[in-house]
Amino acid sequence: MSGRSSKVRDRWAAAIRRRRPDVLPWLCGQASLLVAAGCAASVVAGFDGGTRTLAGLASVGLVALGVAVVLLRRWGPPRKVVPADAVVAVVAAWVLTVVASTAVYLATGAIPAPGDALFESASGCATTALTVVADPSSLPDGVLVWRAWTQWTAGFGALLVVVVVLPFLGVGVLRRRSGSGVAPGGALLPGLRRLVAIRRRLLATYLSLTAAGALAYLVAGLAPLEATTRAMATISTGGFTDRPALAAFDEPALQWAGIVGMVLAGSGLALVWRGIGDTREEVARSRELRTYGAVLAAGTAVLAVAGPDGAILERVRVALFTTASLVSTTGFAAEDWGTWSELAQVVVVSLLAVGAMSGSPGGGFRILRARVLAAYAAAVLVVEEHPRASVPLTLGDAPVPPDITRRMVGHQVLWIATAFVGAVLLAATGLDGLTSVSGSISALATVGPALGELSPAGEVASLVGPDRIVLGGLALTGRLGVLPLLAAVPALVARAQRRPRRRALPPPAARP
Amino acid sequence: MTLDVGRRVRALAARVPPPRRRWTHTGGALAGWAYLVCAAGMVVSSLAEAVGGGGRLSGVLAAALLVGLIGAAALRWLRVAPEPTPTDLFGAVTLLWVAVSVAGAVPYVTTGTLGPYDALFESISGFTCTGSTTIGDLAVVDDGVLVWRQLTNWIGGLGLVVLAVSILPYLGVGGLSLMAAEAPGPGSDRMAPRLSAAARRLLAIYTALTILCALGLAIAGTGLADGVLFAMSAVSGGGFAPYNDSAGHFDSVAVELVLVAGMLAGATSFVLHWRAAHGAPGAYLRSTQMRTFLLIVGGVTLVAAAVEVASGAAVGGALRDSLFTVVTIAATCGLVNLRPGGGGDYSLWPAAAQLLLLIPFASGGMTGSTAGALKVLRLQVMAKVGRRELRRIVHPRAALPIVLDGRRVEEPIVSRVVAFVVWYFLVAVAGVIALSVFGVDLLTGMGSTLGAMGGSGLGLGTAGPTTNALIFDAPARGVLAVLMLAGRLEVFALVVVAAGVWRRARRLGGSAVGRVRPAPRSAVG
Repeated sequence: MSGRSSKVRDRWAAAIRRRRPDVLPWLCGQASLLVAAGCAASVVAGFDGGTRTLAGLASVGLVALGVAVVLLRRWGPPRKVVPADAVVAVVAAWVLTVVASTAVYLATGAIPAPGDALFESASGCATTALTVVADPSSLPDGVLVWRAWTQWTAGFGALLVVVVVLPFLGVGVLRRRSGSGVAPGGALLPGLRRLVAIRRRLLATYLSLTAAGALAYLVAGLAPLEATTRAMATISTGGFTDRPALAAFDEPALQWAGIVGMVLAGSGLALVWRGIGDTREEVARSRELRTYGAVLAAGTAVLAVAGPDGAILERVRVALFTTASLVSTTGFAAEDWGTWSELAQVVVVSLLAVGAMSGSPGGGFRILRARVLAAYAAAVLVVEEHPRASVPLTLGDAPVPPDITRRMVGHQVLWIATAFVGAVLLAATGLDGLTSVSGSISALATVGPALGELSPAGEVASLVGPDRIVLGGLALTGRLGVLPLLAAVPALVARAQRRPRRRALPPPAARP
Repeated sequence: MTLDVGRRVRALAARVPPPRRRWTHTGGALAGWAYLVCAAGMVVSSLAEAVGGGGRLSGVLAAALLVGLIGAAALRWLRVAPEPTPTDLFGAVTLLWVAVSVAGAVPYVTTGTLGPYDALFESISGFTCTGSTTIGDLAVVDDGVLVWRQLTNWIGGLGLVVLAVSILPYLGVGGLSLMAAEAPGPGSDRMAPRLSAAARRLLAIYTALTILCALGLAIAGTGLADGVLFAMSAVSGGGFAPYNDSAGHFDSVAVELVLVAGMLAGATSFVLHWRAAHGAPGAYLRSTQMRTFLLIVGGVTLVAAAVEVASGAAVGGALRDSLFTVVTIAATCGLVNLRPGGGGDYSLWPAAAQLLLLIPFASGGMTGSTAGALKVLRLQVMAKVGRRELRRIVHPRAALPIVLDGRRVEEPIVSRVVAFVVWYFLVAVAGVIALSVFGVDLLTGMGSTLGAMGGSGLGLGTAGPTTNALIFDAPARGVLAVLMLAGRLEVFALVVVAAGVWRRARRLGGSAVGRVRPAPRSAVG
């Protein structure tokens, strides 16, 4: 017996050694493995659910496991990756996960319509809070866990994209040494060992935060399963809940637990500290962290005055909850901000776009990028006044290389252009202007709820096909980063051109 | 005729004995000159009213007298600094525009047409060529005031500094810097080696275009007087009209087509006009900026018309409305072709077509034209910056310069363009938030902010073409007025002045912000 198992192990090890290095199938294999793990977790959590649910989850999980084995056995990670390949691999892995998630919803019968299932999957994998399920509490436990799993894994994947891929493309917001600098662009991906080490450290911290969040929700009064799924949605900045949106945080204790979780998730504080290696002192000195605090404070102050009704403490709590939800791009709602004053609504949309801190799984502009842009604009202004001056562009004490600044600017240009195109497309599907503009920004920032028909009290389920497609596309674009998704097609073409073509070799010349 | 003005002014100035002492104050001296021009315009308006038989001749004339006296005193006692710093220039130009706006408000007050606050708004709107109005019913306003409104558009259209440089001989030294401070965008080619000659050519083209447009309108059926008034508004990109229903008053396709041509001519680079007038008509189509501008106008027109047709509108009417609306917004003019039955009212269009209008709202016209907003050239640069990042993913080590019209755009200029857009965006966001404080909703705020900063004066949401600025509360109108000035001065001037004031205040408080530290590497500029 032991001989046979050692034989299998040896053959597997030999196969691993023979693997061809290619990041695309390797990353897809990893994604399939995650899908299989999610299905397994959902089966365990929803074991007392219906037969169809379990069968559906098990079948998709087995197929995903098979795909993972095939891909990971034949292809391994390369030592060096060019940006085009990294972009294509990330996009492909995400698309694969969306497809697998759609299959889960269809196979379990939880969401029978393919269009609805695809939207729910895209929304989950993009960590937005948009859902076609009007009352999620009617879904089986296994499916609820699967929904939370899609967001949780997508949040972790987004974190890896932020930490590994975006700096690699030069638009990264990875903080090195207390946010005082940004990663240089153009460098190759870190070696496999370093990547694995980063991933492990991040995963450990991510798991710890999720466990702490689940405990907090448990203390606040949720059942264990719901507390776990809620914590998964909070720490990943996802926003799915197991109840209708406005009923999920109807208790002050739940709101406080949510506030702490969202603020931590949006800051990426512990993740950066543990994952990247900043010390506590360096993190405390971080300018980005101070800006994050200032945005939270300012948003809370304005919304407390112009937003909800009620006693002052209640208004402050709801305003803080809403601000934390928007800035961290989670998308939870304690009240329907669509009924608030015009000032509050404009502030809501502004907070939607600001986004979270650089080391977090949140979306949006992100605070470090906004700071770089502001510093850039201020520096050019000084040059206008003093044409011969040479003005350093700094964040904290460290200079920001001009190349990085230019790339970030280019990225933001694409972000705004994508938001505009999304708004026009949404309007073309028949939505009003307010809903289209706010919905496009919200989806691209991976928040979800917006204003108008997409306000927290609105019914996404009432939207018809085309607008769901646009929203889902925008959400995925925002989740993957605008630049990688837009560059995926030219990168794919470049990859195809770079690969050696199989041509018939000419016959060897006859030797004399 | 125009070329002689400088000599005449110089001869006139030589006759006046010099004062014992003249203080150096660039903004004040420029404002003094501008006040004299305004006084002359007010006299012309009074004469027009006298010819028309109105009863408030004394009101406009009194304003002319007051403004003229202040201007003469300023010119006598103040002079332009020989070597002003960039900060001084930004401050001077900002002061010039504020001072002229105050002068322009006087006739509205002296004739009793508007109160001081609304008169200032109307004047700012006129000189910045925005076209928003606080006059509820133009039918009861005297002819002299109406002519003065149109003149404010025409005077503001080319920029006060350009007018000053073309006429005042002593502005030759700092003129270029002043012009740069007034319109610090990516520069277009100069039309002549000497600055004053170039400015005079600009003025000549501007006058010629206005005359041509006026003649075209007269032939199309407006009559000569209305033709002149509408031409001043169309070519300058001003947007004021002597009728409540603006260009829709004539309900004539011919008139609208002439106005479209006039607005497009005003929004086209004057350098291209100059080259075309000197035997190179192909210069228009060789310019990528021109092609992009036409692409934006044509593309948005066709798509908006298609959306309208899809929602049940007739093809002819949809094309007519969308062409006029898109051109008036892209040229940052603001004339509308409202007709009975909802014709010309784009607020009745489907939401997608309305949102498409945000493209011309933001793009505006070409550099070196009378149009405002971001300008097509800047959008081209920004689009190329975005495209460069996409290409960099595929070719990470490639040198990817930005090329326009076959010429490489240097990185400092790219930086300037990007910084301008960032500031424009920041000021616009601040404007939307400020408007929302006074109860303006998001969509209306976005449209009105872009309209005020760009200079079209139109908006979206509740601020459609059938409304005027009176739908906003008085404080909100104040916000819009500041946005108009910010947009006309292309953001930088106002931001530099605000930063200077802030810095001075901080310095008084003992802080030392604003120091420029030299840096050996990673520098901007």
